[in-house]
Amino acid sequence: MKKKFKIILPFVITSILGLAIIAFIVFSFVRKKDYNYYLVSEENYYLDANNPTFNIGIYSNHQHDYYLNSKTINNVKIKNELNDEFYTVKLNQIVEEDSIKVYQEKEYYKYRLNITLPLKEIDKFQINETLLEFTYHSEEKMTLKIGSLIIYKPSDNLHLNISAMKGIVNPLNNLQILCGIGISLKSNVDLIMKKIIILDDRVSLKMDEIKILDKTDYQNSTNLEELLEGGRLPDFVFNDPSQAIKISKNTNYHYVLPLTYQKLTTINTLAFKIIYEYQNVEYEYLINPFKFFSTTAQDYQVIKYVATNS
Amino acid sequence: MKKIFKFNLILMMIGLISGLLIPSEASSSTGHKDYNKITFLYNPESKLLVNNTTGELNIMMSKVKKKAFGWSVYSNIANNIVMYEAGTIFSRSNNTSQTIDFKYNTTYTTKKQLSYGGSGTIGMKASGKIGSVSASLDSSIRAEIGVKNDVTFEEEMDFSIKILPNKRVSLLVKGLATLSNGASKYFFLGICTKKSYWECIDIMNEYYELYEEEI
Repeated sequence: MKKKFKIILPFVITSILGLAIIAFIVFSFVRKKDYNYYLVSEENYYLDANNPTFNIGIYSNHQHDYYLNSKTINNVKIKNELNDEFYTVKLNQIVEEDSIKVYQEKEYYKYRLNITLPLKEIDKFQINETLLEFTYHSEEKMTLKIGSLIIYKPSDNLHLNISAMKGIVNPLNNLQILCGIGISLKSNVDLIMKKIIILDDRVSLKMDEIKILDKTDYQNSTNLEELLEGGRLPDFVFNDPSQAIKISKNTNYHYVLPLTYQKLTTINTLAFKIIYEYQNVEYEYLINPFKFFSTTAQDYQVIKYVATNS
Repeated sequence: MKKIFKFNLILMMIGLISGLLIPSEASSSTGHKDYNKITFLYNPESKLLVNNTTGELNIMMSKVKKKAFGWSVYSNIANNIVMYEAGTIFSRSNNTSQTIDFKYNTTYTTKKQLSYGGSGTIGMKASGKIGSVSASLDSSIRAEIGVKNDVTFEEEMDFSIKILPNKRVSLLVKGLATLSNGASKYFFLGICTKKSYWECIDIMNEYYELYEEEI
């Protein structure tokens, strides 16, 4: 009996070891085939120059994702896709949030990344096609497109006030485009509105295209051209080539600001500055970044990575 | 054999009666708690489920085709464009004699979810979200009215504004969506075991509108 046991025991041990090795190889193979999918929505990020920090939400099909773990990340860069400009940024925090999305029968878990740009005392800065590049201790790299990034300098508001604001969104070239802004402005003094500067370089507006409307209850999807036809010209300053507009005190003006794009693209958040003159002194009034609309027609990325786990 | 038939019949009756006893989750005038007002833009004759009479609902249900197994879906209206009002993100009043600086931080969500209303034998939860509805019914409805994107994203935004004395400033959300509704029945061996009315709202655009008013 003891003899038989002695003969069988090595076989049993060898078999168990063999099975363990096979299981390890199969497991490693399966892990190598493990795909990482990431969902990222391209947004228009506006950062205050005094604190250029922002949050970005990334969805991963993995919980406790190896690639979204500050311990595995060596460094994070913000890159401009259109040129070779890049900045190493400070990744303050990665938080796995209690939010799950289901897309194409896969569950995605939300991670919120808090990032600070190392830029100081800057008046204006913009990257239109921003890439977020992660470099890992394992020397792997992952790059995600996150949209546009604009840094702006806040200013004090002394004389002007907004009483209403909305976007006019029309379909153009199969895209939902913010074609214009409806804004009601009022001032407690008589002043001259000299210029309106959109803080996104891709969008501009001309003072001589601004119209005043008597009504504000139009739909956001109203055709901009028709809306402008029903408007009247503002009270321009006589003989002023810059088409400066007079604003009388305690009068509520509802302006329509038609927007011009360098290249048609869905931009849903805008900030702008009104440069005005009061008693021969120039001031500026910043209208903070405002999200005018969102659309389901907007693209988002699904990025697939193969986890190498080397 | 007769006993089995009787047993099945009793089971089916219990199913139907218990289904009818489940209260409807329609909590606003639209039947959807997230939407205060829904207006059909190009189909003025179209109606929301809540506005259909019992007779109209019965006609809708009678149009559901019979099948051997699974959900059969009848679409009464499919992808009609509507304008909706989804509510107010904030409303801040200034009852003082001084101008106040108001700063808000809000999380915008691009809504792309289904919203179900109406009544039926499906145990619909108050949230009306996709998870609370049978996945097989959802795919049957989607096959009928078309597959839609249902990913949502959140985005944080800070905004500051001055509020003058005796004024109130509010931020409103409204937009365009497609609306579909109809009836559905679940069949097992050609016998209807569940009935339901359904309504889907698929958001196309959300517009954010800031306005000031006198208190």
